[in-house]
Amino acid sequence: MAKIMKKEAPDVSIPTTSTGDIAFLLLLFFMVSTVFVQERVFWVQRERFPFASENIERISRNESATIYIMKKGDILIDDFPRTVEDNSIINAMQAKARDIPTLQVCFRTDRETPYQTVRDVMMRLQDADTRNVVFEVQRKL
Amino acid sequence: MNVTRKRRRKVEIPTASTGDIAFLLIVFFMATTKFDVKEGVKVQLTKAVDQAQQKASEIKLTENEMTRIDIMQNGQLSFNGATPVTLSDTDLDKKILEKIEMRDALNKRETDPTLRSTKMLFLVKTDPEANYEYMVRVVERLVTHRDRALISISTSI
Repeated sequence: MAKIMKKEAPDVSIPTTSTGDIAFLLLLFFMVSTVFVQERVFWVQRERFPFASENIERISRNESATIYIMKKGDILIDDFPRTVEDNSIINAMQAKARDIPTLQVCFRTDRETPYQTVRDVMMRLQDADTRNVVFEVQRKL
Repeated sequence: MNVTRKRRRKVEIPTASTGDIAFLLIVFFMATTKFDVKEGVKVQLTKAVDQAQQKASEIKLTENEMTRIDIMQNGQLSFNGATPVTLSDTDLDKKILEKIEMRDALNKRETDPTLRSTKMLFLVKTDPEANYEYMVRVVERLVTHRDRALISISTSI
């Protein structure tokens, strides 16, 4: 009688040894490439923005300048403290507008800031001819 | 004497779960990362004009062409110099719409075809001591009717 040899099933397995390395490489890539915004002097939290329910538009970060105005009247433009008394706001905005022709100026302002401070900054923006403004808001639920 | 050699045990650190751990870390950071999204109400400010130029180009507008909204220190609103009142968002919308519709009705009766598309101009004047949020609230409601009205935020002192 002929001897029938049973075919041995080959050991099929997907190699997973490198999965850990790949995942850690991904993790490292995101950790290295993530840029954190470091606010130097102060920060107006989103919870302090005025409320709005409609007409909210998204603004591209690359096309915007951010103006922080605190309740007490401190002004910060793109991380640098400015005042309305001199031409620092006009100079800063004109320089920014030269780099970005479609510049949007975002007001990150405390909702209880006296309008006077905001008005003074807006006047400087008019002088600098950077008149596209965005009043940042928080969504009213 | 027959000495049996001790068999070396194969020592291995199990690495099968490393991938899972790393992916779990990635998922954790993806879920907890909060991106700073910029969103708000867009408006365009008027051009800066010096006082002499302003005087020379001054034109008088009637209530049929312009509605002046005064925002008081306490957030009350006055339309065209009327007594300030507290208005809810719905009431404010109604009031704005009323003015726009009044302008539209006048446009329909207009004999000059070039004037038939005149839009109602809303001038928002805020008290210097009023909270900034009161101004944003009014501007946000006006932006809803952007295609039928013009918005001007007064920066004059």
